[in-house]
Amino acid sequence: MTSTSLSSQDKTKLTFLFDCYGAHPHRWPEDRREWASNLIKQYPEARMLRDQALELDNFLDKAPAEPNSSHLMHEILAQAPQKKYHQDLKTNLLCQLWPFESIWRPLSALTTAGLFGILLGTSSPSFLYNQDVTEIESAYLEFSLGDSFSNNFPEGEID
Amino acid sequence: MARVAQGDANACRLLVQRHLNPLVGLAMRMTGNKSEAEDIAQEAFVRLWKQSHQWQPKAKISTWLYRVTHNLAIDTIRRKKRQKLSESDQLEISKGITASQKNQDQTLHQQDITRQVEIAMSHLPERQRTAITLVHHRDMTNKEAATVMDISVDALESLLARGRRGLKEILADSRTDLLGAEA
Repeated sequence: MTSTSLSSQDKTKLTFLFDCYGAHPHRWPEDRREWASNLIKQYPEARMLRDQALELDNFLDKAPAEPNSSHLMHEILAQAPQKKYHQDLKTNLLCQLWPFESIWRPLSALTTAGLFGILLGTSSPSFLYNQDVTEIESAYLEFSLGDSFSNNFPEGEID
Repeated sequence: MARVAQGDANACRLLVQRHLNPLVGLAMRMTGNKSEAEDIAQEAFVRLWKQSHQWQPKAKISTWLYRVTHNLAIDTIRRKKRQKLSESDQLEISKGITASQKNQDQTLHQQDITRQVEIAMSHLPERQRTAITLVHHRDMTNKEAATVMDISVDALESLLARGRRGLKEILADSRTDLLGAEA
């Protein structure tokens, strides 16, 4: 069963909605938007109430309260946070050298490698030079460094 | 906001371009004085610049700016409350409105509607003017507007309803003229 006129409860609620937010649905609270739109579609009385609110909306639209104060722009921007030139220059140079994010990664890797090298060089751990020379190693050294071996080749054995 | 804190001139410019006039408009609606409104908007931006390094993205920048502007305007109104609003101040409202209209290059009829609506608005209590400006002219949701004004949504709706009804009554006498001018 469909009624031809708004219920008094709906009328009161709808009037209050228009009184608060006007006739345009985008200003209505989301939870009441669908309900109000349905009433407007359904009832001429609701449309009449909406049109009354629309009249005031149109008047209000003519007074948007946005005076031209662009002359203040310069003064306001002069007080805005400024970039530091030297900081920019450094950043730009680093960006050219390492165009990816997080410059600390390659820098820390390089630093760690350097420090390890210095530590190794200065402390000279014994395992680097006090090694047992095996028999094979000493033979190899004698072969490669000694000068007596090559002179003792029997003639004719090497082509 | 991070770009503003880093001193990105473009980001700052965009922010000021977008919000300056609406903020001055709100402060002017509240105080009824253009030069005071401009001082208030300027101070709101200065506070934003100072705040930019420790900005917590909890609120929208626009809501924050409107809230600061609203509070600064309230302070100004309280300071002025001791002295009665003189006739010259009332005159300044009309002058300011007329000047801004000229800048917008509107037709004479439209200027007349604007002037009449602004005068009607100036007769409303300050909180009703503010509520209507935030919801109608700045398209804020009821929650955003209530946050700016530091009141509940119910209280905001009460202000809006009383304000719009009041405006209707004030404009009722000139309604026919206004509708004629609009057409």
